[in-house]
Formats: sequence, C-alpha cells, structure tokens
Amino acid sequence: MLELKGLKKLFDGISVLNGVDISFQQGSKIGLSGGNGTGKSTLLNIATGFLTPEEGAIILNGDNITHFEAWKLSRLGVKRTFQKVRFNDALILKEQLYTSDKIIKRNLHMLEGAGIIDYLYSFPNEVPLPILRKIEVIRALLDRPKYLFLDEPSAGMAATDLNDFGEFLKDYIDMETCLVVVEHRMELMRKIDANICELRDGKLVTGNIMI
Amino acid sequence: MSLYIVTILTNMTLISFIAISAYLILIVGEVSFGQQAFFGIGAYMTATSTALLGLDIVVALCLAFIVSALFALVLSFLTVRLSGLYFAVASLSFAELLRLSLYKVDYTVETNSGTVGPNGPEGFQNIRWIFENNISPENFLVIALSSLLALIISLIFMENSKLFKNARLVGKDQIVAQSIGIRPFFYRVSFITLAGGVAGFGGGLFALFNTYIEPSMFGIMLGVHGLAYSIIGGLGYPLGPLIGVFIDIGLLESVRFLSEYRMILFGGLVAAILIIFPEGIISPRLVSRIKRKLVEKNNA
Repeated sequence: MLELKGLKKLFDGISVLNGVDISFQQGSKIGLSGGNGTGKSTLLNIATGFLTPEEGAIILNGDNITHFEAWKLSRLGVKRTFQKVRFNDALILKEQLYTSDKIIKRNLHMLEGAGIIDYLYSFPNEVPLPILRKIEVIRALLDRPKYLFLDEPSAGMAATDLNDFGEFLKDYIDMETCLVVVEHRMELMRKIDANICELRDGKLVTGNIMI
Repeated sequence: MSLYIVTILTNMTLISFIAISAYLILIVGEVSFGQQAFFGIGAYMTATSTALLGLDIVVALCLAFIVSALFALVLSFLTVRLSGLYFAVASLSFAELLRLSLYKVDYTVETNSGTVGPNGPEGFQNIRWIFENNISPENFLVIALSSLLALIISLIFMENSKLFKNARLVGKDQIVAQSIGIRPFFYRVSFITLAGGVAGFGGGLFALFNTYIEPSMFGIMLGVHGLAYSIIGGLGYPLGPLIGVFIDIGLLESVRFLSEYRMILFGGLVAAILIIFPEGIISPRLVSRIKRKLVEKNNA
C-alpha cells in the first residue's frame, strides 16, 4: 500500500496542498479530479518522487520513502506518465520502450491488442498522439508497476480516442497494479470505473479512499 | 610516407582522444570545456612514469588513464548539482586550476641526457622513451592509431549496450530516465570519469611523441577544438568525433598556403556545417534511420 499522509506543499508561499491524506492499494483504480491549479499534478509529482512535500510523509508498505528520488520510487514500482508525452525525436519508438527484445516478444499480444505494433519502427513525430500515450503507458507496464500514475491522459485526445484509451486501460492493467488517473474530464474515469475523489482548496474533499 | 604526413596523422590521432572524451560527456548531456586538463594530467603522468620512474609504457599509459580518471571523478562529484552552462564553466575552472597547478610542480633529476622532470613553467623535458626504444615516427603512429582503433571498436560494441542507451537517455531527458528507474547521477559520474581517463590516455601518448611538455600546451583552445570536433562530427556514433577531426585538421593543413586566413576559413566552415547539419554530421537521428533501413532490409 502506498500512503500519502498530511501532505503540504507551497509554491512561492502559496499553499497548493494543505494536508492531503490518501492511500493507494494494489488492484484499485482511482480518479483524481479537480479544476486547474488545484494541485492534482503536484500530488502526482509528490507521490512519484519528482517533488518533495514541505510536510507530510509518503509510506510504501510501511516504509517511509518521503525523501526517495524519483528513480528509486520507479524501481520500487511507482511509475508515471506525463501530461505532455516525452519522447526523443531521434529514436524509433521500439528503442524508447527501454526494455529488452525478449520482454517485447513476451508482450507481443499487448502491443498487438493496443494497436501499436505497426508503429514500433516509427519516429515519434510520425505517430498520432493517442498512440504515443499508449506507448508511454506500455513503457511503464512492461516493467510491471505496482502503482501507475497517469497525468492528464485525456489532454489533446478526441472523445473516440479517449474511449479507445479507456478500453486499453481496462484490458491491460491487471489486479497487481493500482491505477491512478489524474484528470479533469470525467469520461475516462467513468469508463474505467474509477473511484473518484476531488481536490479542492488544497484538500481532498471526498476524504480518504480505502478499498 | 613523409615525416610531415606522419606527424600530421599522429597529431590527428592524439587529438581524437580529446574529441572522444568530449563526445562521452556530450552523451550524458553536458558540455565540458575542461578535457584538455585531463589530457595534460595524462601527459605529465606518463612522462613521470617513463622518464623518472622508468616504468613500462603499458603500465605508464594505464596509470595515465587511471590518474586522469580519478581527477575527472573529483570533477564529477564537485559538479553533481550543476548542469548546462554552469557545468561548462565549472569544468573550465577546474581544468585551469589543474593546469596552473602544474606551473608549481618542480622536481628535476640530472641524468646523462640532461635535466629530467617537471620544472614548473619550463615544462617536462627529455621524455626519451621513443629514442631509448628506437621507435620511429611511423612505428609511433601505428601504436597511437591502434590504441585509437581499439577504443573506437570497443565504443562501437558498447553503443548497443544498456549502459550507453541509458546514458543517452540521461543526456536527453533526465525526467523520463528517472521515471523508468534510471539513476542519472550514476551515468553522469561514470561517463565523466571514463572521459577523463580517455583524455589522459591520449595525453600520455602525446607526451611520449612530443618528448617535451609544458603546462601552456594544455590550454582551453585544445579542449575547445576537441569539443568542436565531436559537435561537428555528431553524437550519433563513435565515428562522429573522428570525422570532425578529419574535416578540421585535414582542411587546416590543406589550406596552409592561406597562412593566418586559415582560421577564418575554419570558423566559416564550422558555421556552415552546423547550419547544414545542426546535430552534427552523424546525428543520432541519422543513425536511427540507417538502423531502421537495415531492419527493413532484413525483414524484406
């Protein structure tokens, strides 16, 4: 279980998170909503080690990992994707999965099912955004994450693409993984049956989510 | 081959070591203006171990590699929190600090063949290894060139390793690197250290070839040229820096009749190449395209 306890975060003296408690359990699906600037992405960045909170603690299976760097959290199975997809324009996408050919072969069914297999030898700028989003998720999935945070996956996606993306998440994220979707659009969260909680004024309004 | 051509080729080989060391640091996303100092340390180290201590050349060059790598390791730890412009300035300051310290190193021994040992601004004279072992300039070129080839071939083999792929990712996007569990610190430290060692090894060969070294030889222009070669050549493949060296020195030497106007031509050429090939001649994208072509060919 990944627990965030009493998180407080300030940016230039302005409080963004003001005592947030939330816990994530493997197998659950959580949707984190909230308007612009309510701290959704900040919460995600703290949970994945890209930011450190001013106050509060991050506990993974009972161990305090508040000051772990992002790479260490990633190795412990806490992975993420980005609001703006991050790829290297000079490399074909297969190389950007950062995994061995063996693992790619073993997961061919997933690559095929997700409809990305034809794009593996393309450069990122030759590929539509919905595909890139899937590839970012697959890059994380190939490493068997225990907690997977998606940062605004709906950004820049049309309704049909989003529907397809939701199907993809439902098909390939198993009970070993806790999926957390940070979003302000509700379609995707409904599609994957996420438990929705909302950030407002630096607090989580729907309270603790324990499943 | 005339002595002139042999000397030029040897100099090209030796400066390639600096170009490759600059290349290794560019791979992890930093720009170093300090590789000349590691070259200098390697040169002094080799001079000391052959001329003063009478060690074997293989031992001497290994020592040059190790000691320069250790100095580079210190630099990498001092600059843990610096990147971009700040790393560039820090590397230059560190290099100048080391170079200026060499002016204060004074330890000479009188021998039959004259004064031997580092003598401050006078430099280190009488590095007589090539005379004592009857190495002709051609033979030395063979030694230098085969070391360089060995280095390039091992880099080409390592290019497809996880180590290099991860290092390139660290150089391109540390955030993605971290998100997939790669520790940028490790790659930065190892590549800066390795680059120091490579420069030091080249410096060692330089000391043996030149038979005389002094601190002023290891000034910033040496490092800047090395850096320019790897930028012109491109970061896609270990042959990039060599292409840079060939273009530059090949051209500089062939237009020697233009005397001091050569440098204007050189500057113009560098600018033109970087306009046509913004990421160098062998850019990472070009390498990926070629790889893709090869895969398509194999599948067809």
